[in-house]
Amino acid sequence: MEYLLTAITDAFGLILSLDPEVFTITLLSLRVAGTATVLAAVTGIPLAYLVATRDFRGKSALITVFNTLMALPTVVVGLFCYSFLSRKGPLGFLDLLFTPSGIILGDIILAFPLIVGLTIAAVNAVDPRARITAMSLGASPRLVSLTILIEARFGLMAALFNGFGRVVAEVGSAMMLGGNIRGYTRTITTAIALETSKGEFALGMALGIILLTLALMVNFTFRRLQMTSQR
Amino acid sequence: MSLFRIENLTYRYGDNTAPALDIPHLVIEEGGIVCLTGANGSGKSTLLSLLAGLLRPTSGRIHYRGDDLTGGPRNLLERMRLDMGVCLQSPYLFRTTVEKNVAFGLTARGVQGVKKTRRTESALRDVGLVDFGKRPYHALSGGEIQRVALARALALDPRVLLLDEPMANVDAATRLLLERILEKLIRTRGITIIISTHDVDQALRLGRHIITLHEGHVVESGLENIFHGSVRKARDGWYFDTGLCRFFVPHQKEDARTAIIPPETILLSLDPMETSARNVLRGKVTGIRMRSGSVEVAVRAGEEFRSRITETSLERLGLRLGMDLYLLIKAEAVRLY
Amino acid sequence: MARKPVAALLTVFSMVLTAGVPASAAAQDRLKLSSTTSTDNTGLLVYLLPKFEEQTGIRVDVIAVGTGKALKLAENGDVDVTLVHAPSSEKRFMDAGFGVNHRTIMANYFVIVGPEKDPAGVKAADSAEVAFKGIAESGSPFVSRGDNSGTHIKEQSIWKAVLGVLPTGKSWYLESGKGMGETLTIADEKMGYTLSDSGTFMKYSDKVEVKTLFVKPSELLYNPYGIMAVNPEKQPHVNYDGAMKLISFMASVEGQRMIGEFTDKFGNRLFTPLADKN
Repeated sequence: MEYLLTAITDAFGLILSLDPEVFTITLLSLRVAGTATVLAAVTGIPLAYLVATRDFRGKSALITVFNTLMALPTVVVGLFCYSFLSRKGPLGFLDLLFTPSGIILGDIILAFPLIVGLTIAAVNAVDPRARITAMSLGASPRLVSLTILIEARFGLMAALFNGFGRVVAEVGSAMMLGGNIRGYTRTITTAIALETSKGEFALGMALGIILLTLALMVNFTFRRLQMTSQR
Repeated sequence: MSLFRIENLTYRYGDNTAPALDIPHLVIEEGGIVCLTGANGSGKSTLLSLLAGLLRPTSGRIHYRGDDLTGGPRNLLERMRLDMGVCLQSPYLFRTTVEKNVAFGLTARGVQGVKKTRRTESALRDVGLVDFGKRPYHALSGGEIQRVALARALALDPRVLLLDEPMANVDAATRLLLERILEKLIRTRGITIIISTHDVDQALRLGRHIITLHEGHVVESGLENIFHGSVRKARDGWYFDTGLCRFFVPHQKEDARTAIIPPETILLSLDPMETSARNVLRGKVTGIRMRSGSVEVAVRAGEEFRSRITETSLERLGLRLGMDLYLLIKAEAVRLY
Repeated sequence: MARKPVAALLTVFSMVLTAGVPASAAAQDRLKLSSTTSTDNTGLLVYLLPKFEEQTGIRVDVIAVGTGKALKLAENGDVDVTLVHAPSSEKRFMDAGFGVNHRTIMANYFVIVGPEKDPAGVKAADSAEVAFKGIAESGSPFVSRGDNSGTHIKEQSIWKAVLGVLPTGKSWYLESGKGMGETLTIADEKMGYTLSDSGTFMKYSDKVEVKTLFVKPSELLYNPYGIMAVNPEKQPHVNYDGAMKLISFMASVEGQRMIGEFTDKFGNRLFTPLADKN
């Protein structure tokens, strides 16, 4: 018990003193997860919109695939990406392994099906009259699509925040593709894994508390945005 | 130039169903209120959606002010939509404020800034919702939603206003208010309003031109002599039995469930004359309504029949409410569906 | 509609994107070193590498994994140079032509650690084989790394010498599949034994209650660390030049002096330099 208290006290000490290492690690985590979420959203949302609004053969099979991929274990994605990014793999020449971009790639693959799946559900949940109404008011096809996505905004936000939450908290793929290089590819989660393995529970705990705080902030922001856009 | 000209139009939902709409020829002139009437499922909404360019015909042509929408380039349809203000049955409001809903079509047309604000406010004033701009979509009553949707269409200052059953789900007071708004629009802006309604009295009250639809077909007259029943065979021929009355019909469709008699084809007589008409029904005058250029007479003879006669005939026959008379209907004039 | 939340969202994300970007990361001359958790966790590399970086301007990225994976990464050409401690695996790696310029730069010893009560009588054993035999016979828990690391390979070779087979599947034989630190923690929780390199154990000695029970330096428990460059003929893209500079640095008089002077926070020297003995 005393040992747990010490760990927590040390953790807050590190956070409050703005320990540069903790700071760097946190920023990298945010940057990597944020970039991956944005890139997955930029590609995933239009794709999801098309899937949700078009009829084609194999549509339900495709949706099932996305729903399955949502639960993909992170180490599987890590391994899969490693085999592509390794020098032995087809994309080895890109030199992405053990770089932040490598982690971002893995995170995109993790976030993508989640964002696509949740966006499809969100777009499907929009009242079908929204499309007709927008069209009848003279909206161009682009404005019609945009209107439907805006109508689906709660769902889209949920998709983004869930995507961000998944990648910021995952360790398997970040460890395998980033290599946990100090000051370069060390994220909050890989650092926690390392510090735990070294028995440095205080630093691990500090990072855990930061991660938890971030998760809380993200969720509070989400709730707030939902409430504001309810107006 | 007519506003809409329809040629050989059909529309089917899905592939192998009977057409929801089948109109060989129909012209709608510009100006005033045009009412589409007919029972639920008669094709009113389908026709409005086709006129609004929201549906594409399965076959046939729709001309809008001389331009062929169906054969023309895609952007013609989009350009035509910019002339229209459309208000759907059970309107959908976007998940935002009243103001932004009303401004939607203006945004789509690139109207910005003060102009947008002014037109939004003016449209809300037109429907009597001046202070509603900041209200969220979910804090409105059914009648208010209907009026916001109307304002959304009006803000576009449309040449044509298409309204699908705007009075269906509103209370009597709102209905009256909406009717006043529409009549004022006609007076002040000179636009054409095409409105669908299942309320025949309303159609008669408002409409310059009444188009009655029945099972996807245009029934030529604006009045209703629509009877439901079945075709039976008797010794002396085929007749249609509504349960309240029966009349001879041509031997066309033995499985017909509906009979329609154009009001012009029903003759009125004070005596049961020997004529070529096979149906001579005795009845009582229940209504006389003066319309521009003609008189509509309602006669109850089991069912209520409506006949259209000239003012001269009215005077010559000396028709009064409650008077007994005979209806003369040629079997060949009855249409079976 | 809903412009504000969307704009807020984009602002948050763009802030995140632009924050903390290591500006010249890609432009810098970088060298990738795959190494074992024992060299990284003890702090040796954090102590040595800044000196190297200062001298050469080459930034070293350390990927700390087990010996097995460290060599695999080198074989695949995913790193430029590797520092491990499993002579038999290193020999196979070199013989297959994956590496060049192998240098043994330092060593420490494997120690057997376990609970103070020592139910298997390890303290009294006069050789590692006898100690392992005692553990097997007493049925006391033994926590194996189980991760194909240098320590795991060494431990397996001792079991083979003692029992003829690996004790895999025995109820007292636990495979953690984790690094040395976590394995020590598990041994501590289970009141069991484990084999550790002396460096990592010293670093951990204040965090666990298990004690060093057997520390007799012997040929069997000798733990040499070898560094080697990835063969540029097999993997032409590697930073061979940088790899050679790092190897030279480690084997240099100054590098060796630093290794010899490296101590943990209790003042224990964790590695013995031995490049000059090659």
